[in-house]
Amino acid sequence: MKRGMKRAQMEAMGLAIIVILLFLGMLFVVRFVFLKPVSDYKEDYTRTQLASNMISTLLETNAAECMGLSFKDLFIDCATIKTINCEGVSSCNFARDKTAFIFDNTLGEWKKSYEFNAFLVEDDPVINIGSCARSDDITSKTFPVPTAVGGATLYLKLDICVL
Amino acid sequence: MALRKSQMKMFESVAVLIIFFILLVFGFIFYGNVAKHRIRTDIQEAIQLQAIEVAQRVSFLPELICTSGEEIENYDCIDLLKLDMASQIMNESKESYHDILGYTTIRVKEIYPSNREWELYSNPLGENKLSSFIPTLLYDARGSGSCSGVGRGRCSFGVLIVEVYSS
Repeated sequence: MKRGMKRAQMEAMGLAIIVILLFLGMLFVVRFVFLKPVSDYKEDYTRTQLASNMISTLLETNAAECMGLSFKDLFIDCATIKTINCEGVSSCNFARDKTAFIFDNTLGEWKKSYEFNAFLVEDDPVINIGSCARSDDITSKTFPVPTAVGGATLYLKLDICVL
Repeated sequence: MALRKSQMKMFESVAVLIIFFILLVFGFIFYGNVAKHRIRTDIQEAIQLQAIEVAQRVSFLPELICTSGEEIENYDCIDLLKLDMASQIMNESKESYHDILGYTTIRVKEIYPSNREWELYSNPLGENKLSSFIPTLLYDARGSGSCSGVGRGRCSFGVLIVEVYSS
């Protein structure tokens, strides 16, 4: 009787071990198959390309309301000599308003948060649009633009972020 | 007494078999779900890669890109003179473009200074689609002034919108 009980206990123990092993196996599968994040190739690609293309396209765009000058000329004037006047508006205000309009109608419409800065010295931007201050997930692109004024270089930086 | 014992043994065997089959069924259901999940993830990734591929192909289409001088090509730039003709030709010869563009809708939208839109190619399939937006220069050689990097004319800010459909 005692021997029979011992055998039954051993069998129960064996079953319990099998159940525990199965459970661990299932946990392993759940962890590495179901909870594995889906690779978002498109998002990674889009954000990197987007930041780069946005600035390069913006720089070459002609401002119809400002003698057909390119935005590159307007940004350079804004950061250096500030002589260009676009129908009574300074180059800085004109470039800021139109850049904000373009970004709102593109990045804003695609539900992407952004921060744009144009600066000679990073701590003192001449143009600042949007904010990524509260974000940890930022894709950034900086374009250096030579100004030909005292050898200074203007930097245009666009951050695309997830808030 | 012996009969009862053998009956008990038989019941035990049947119970073990039932439990075995129940576990087997659970195993199959679990494996099925894992496989389904993995296939769905693979399909999603394949569609994303396809969307990137098509977007790349469209932005390098010789029917659209700007040229300055004789043969120098400017990528990320669409020639508006070419665009007007390309939108007619591409929609008229959908079968020829199907091999390279598949089930997609391609549009070009001018953001600044004006707000025009062109539909280049439309070959939709179902409701599911992935959209890609590519900022691009729109070059108009008829405009006055100069567009640096391309030539005489006017450059405006536009977006190439590529929507890839997945059934």
